Amino acid sequence: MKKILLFLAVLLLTGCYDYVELDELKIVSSIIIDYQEDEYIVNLEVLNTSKNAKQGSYFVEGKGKTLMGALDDTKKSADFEPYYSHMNIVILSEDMANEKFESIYDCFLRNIEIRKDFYLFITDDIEGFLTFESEPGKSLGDIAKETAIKLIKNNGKYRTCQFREAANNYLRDKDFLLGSINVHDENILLKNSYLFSDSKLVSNVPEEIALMANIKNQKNNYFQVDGNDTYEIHEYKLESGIEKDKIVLNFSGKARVLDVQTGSAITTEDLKTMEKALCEKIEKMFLESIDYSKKIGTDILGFNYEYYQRYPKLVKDDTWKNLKYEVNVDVSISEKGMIMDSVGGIKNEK
Amino acid sequence: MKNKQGFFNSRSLFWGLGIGLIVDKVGTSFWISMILGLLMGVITLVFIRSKNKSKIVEVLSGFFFTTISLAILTFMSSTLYLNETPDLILVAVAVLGCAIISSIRSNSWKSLLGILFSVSIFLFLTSQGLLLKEIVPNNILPLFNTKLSSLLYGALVFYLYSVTPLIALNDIEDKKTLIINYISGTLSIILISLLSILVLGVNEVVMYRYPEYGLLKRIKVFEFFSNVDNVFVMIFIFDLLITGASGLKNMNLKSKLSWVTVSILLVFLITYLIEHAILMTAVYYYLPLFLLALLILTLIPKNR
Repeated sequence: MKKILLFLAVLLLTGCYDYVELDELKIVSSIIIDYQEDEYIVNLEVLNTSKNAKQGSYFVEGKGKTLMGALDDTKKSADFEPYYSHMNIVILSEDMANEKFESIYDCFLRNIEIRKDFYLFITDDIEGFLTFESEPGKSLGDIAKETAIKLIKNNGKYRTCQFREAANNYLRDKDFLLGSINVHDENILLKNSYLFSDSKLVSNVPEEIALMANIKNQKNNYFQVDGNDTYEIHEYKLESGIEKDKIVLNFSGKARVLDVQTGSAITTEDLKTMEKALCEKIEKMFLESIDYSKKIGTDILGFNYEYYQRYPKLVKDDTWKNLKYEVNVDVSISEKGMIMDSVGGIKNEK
Repeated sequence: MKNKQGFFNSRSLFWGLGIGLIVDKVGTSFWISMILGLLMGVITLVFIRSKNKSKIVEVLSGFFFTTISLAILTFMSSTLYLNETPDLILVAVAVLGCAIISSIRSNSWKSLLGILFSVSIFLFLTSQGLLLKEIVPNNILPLFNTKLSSLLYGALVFYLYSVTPLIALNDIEDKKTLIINYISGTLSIILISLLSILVLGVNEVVMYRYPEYGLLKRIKVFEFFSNVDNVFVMIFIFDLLITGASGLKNMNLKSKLSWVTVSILLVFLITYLIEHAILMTAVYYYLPLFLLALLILTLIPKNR
C-alpha cells in the first residue's frame, strides 16, 4: 500500500505543476533598460526560433514605475512568457546609469529565474539597438557578449563586468568600470569604459586605465605596449605586496616583438636596452594609472580593499591615496618573430 | 555495517540556515568559530552520559527536527525549483516520503544510510574538486577581523546546529560511531563553508539565502556542462530527508492513528511555516535559542 502511495505521489504530485511548453518559451537574450520621466522602459530582445525567420531576434517593450513592473508589462504582448535563463547582456541607457543604477541590484539578485553572470553595458543611443537586425540564429546579446569577452581578453583596452562582479564591488565599496556599447552601420561598437563609484557614473576613463584595470583583475590574456617599438605582453603575472605604508606591485611576463622602428640591427646589447626600456614603459603605465586615480579621487584599481584585507584595523576610506606605490617590472623579450634583426638594420648593414 | 545516521543529522541544519548565519556574524574568521564549535561538540560527545533521554524529550525533539528539516527542504524546493507549486502539495509529498523512509526496518535502514552516505561522499568530493579552479584565495582575507564575542557566538551556533540533532536523534550508547559521524559530518560542513567563501566571497555568502546552492551553480565541467548543480543538490536533500525520517523514528509511533495524526499535524504546521516569510526569518535568527533549550532538555538526566 505504501509503495503504491509513494509511486502515485511521485507520478501525480511533483514537478510539472508550473510547466511551460518549450515552444511557448520566449528566450530573452538581452534587456535594454531606459529611464525616462520617472518611468522604466525595458526592451526585451527575444530569440526568433521559427524556421523561416529572417532575423535572429525581435524586441518587446514594457513600461512601469518599477523595473520589475516594466518587465511584467512585457507580458501584455499576446502569448508572451519571457525566459531569462539564457540572458547574455543588459544594456543601460546613460539616464538609467546616472539615476537608477542601484535599482537593478535587488530585483536581479532576488529573482531566481534571472542568471547573475550576464554582462552590463552602457549606451547613449537606445534607438540604435531597437532597429538592430541580427542574422538568423544570432542575437544582439550573443554578438555583444562574445565581442566584449574577446576584446577584454585579447586587447584589454576596454573593460566591462558581469552583473555578479558589479554587485560584489558595490557591496565591498569598490569602484568598477562598465563598457559602452553602440550600434554603427549594423555593427556592434565597444569603445569607452565608464567609471562607477558607489554605483554612480563618474566619468569616461582613458583606454590605458581600462587596460590596467583588466590586468589588475586578471581578465586579460595579452596586451600591446606601443611606443617607438611595439610589443605584445603575454604569460604575465601581477602580484600585489601590501605593506603597512606602501603597496608593491610586481609584474613579470614575456614580450613578443611586433614592430621595431630603429634603424640598427638587433644585437644582444640592443635587446638588453629594449628590455630595459620596455620595463620602464610598463612601470610608467602603472604609475600613471595610480596618479590618474588619485587625481580623480577614485580607487579604480581597488587598492583600498586589498589593504583592508591585510590591515582591516588600519584602513580608512582614503588610505589608498596616502600609501606609497612601488612598481617592479621584470619582462623579458622571448620572441622576435620571423625576422632576426630590424628591417631598418638589415637595410643599413647592406 | 555502522549506522551513518549521525553523519546526516549533524549536517542538516546548516543548509540554508547555519552557514549563512555564522558567516554573517563572524565574517572571514568563520573558520575559527567552526573549529571551536567542532571541538566543543567532540568534548560534549566524549563526556555525555548514556540513557538520559526521557520519552517526552524524544517525541518533542523528533517532532521538532522533522518539522525544521522538512520546512528547510520544502522552502528550498519552493524557492529554487517549484515556485508555482502550492506549498501544501510539496509538504505533503515530503512528509509522505519521510514517513515511508522512517518505517524501514533497522537493517534496511542501516543499509540505506550506508548507500546514501557513499553517494553523498562521492558527490561532495566531486563538487569540491570541480570548484577548485574557481577559488580566489584572497576572498578568505582578512583572516582575523572579528570581536571575540562574535567568534564565540559563531562557535556556539556551529556547536548547537551540529550537536543538538545528533544527540537528540541518535543512540548515544555507541559513542565511537557517534563521534566518527560527528567529525566527518562537521568537517564536510567546514570544507563546504571554506569553499563557499573562497569561491563566492563573504558578501555573496551573506547575501544569499542558499549560498551553498550559489556555490554549486558555479560548477562547470569542461566549460560546456554548466547545469550540473542539480545533481549535487542531492547532498542537501539526503541530509534533510534522513533527518526528517530520523525525527519520525525518534517519536517511535506505534498505532496508525498516531501516524496519521502526526503526519497531518506536520503537513499543516510546515505549510503554515513556509507560507509566512516572517516565521521562516524568525527560524533563521532564533533557531539557536530553540536548539539550546532542546539540548539542555536532552542532557538533563532522566531520573532527576
